[in-house]
Amino acid sequence: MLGALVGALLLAWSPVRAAAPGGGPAGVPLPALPKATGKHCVMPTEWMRKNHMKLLFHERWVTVHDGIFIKGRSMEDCLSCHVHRLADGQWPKPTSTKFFCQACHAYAAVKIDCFECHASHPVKAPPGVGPDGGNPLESEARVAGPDAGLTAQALTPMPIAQDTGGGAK
Amino acid sequence: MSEAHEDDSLSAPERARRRFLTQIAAVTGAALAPGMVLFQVAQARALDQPVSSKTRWGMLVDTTKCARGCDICVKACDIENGIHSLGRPETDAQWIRKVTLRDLHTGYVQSLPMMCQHCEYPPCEDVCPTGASFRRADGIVLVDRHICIGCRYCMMACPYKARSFVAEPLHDQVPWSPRGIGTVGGCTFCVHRVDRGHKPACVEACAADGPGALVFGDLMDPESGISKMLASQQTSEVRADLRLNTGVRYHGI
Repeated sequence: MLGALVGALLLAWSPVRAAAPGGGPAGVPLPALPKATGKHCVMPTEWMRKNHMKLLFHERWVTVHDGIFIKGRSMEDCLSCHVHRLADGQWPKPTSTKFFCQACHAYAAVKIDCFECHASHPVKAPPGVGPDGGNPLESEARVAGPDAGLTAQALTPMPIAQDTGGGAK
Repeated sequence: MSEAHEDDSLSAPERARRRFLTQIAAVTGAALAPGMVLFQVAQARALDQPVSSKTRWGMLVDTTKCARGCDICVKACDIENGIHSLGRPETDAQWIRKVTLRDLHTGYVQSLPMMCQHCEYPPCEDVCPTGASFRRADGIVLVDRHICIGCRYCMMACPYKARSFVAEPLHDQVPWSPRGIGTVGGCTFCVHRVDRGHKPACVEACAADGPGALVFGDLMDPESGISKMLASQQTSEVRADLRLNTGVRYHGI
């Protein structure tokens, strides 16, 4: 009963219904969602509109605590379809209504803090950096030339005992 | 001693060798009989399977190789995890740092990297009021920032000062290492890499550009490089008196 009531309320609230002719509270601009790329979402759009937070809540737990990564359903996967550069070539700020999530969340007055920690746009990992492994200093060393980084030969071997005072650095 | 049952065409050493191998086979067979699992060699975990306690990730730091003045591991960590200085060194996030030790009596100075020691019994997990600080089944100690409330008890409990608090809004995080305002962070053993069968950034960088003082691997696999090294040389935990059974061990301190 309660569920049905909540469902009905959500349905009445949903932007699709509000965007219908004659709908929508006067004076409040309806959210304009950036168009997503990709063939289809992980779940039907109607379902996602009401339940996306359940997916996020469940899957964040299994990923962080159990190390399970569900293919195609990471935060990065969401962003790769839903976040695109603006006309000026910049990424939309997660606090801007041009950002996919924020467009609706501003309308519904629901604050999200996902992007205080998560990257808010797709990032291509430089060579040697990121989940695919490698030496993160690789790209740096290549730019700066072979002499820039310390090599094993250049380093002073242990022990060094010339320091006599405290707070040796 | 009669050896009539053995093939006389074989030389004496060859016969002895065969006998030895036969005995070994018998012993091994007996040891395996009660249903020991043979396929538990190190192989990459499928990403849709949960981590298991059949693995425990660990690191060995050879302080006799680790050089003073070298901060390659620190640089690699910063690049990998998108850690930038905010211009205030006292409060900048620090997941791995170089520590210089000096023996007051002899003057002997050594340098070593210090980071989360990935304890079997982590004090940070004990004190965390929300369960955000936790030890994953494969031994990696992490912060679940979704439920971290930023109380910083873990920072106070950690004997290694391994964790840092983020007090300001960040905007340049990397997708594989989320971190942000109001939460605590620390070394993750580069869990995003380890989950995909790669080594942590500091280990890769130290091997490629540095003195190669860091070894990473599975402590539960007796055949892994790190297990063999740990079995064959003296190593110790930092603050072994606390009996935390750290996943990071040091050689030469």
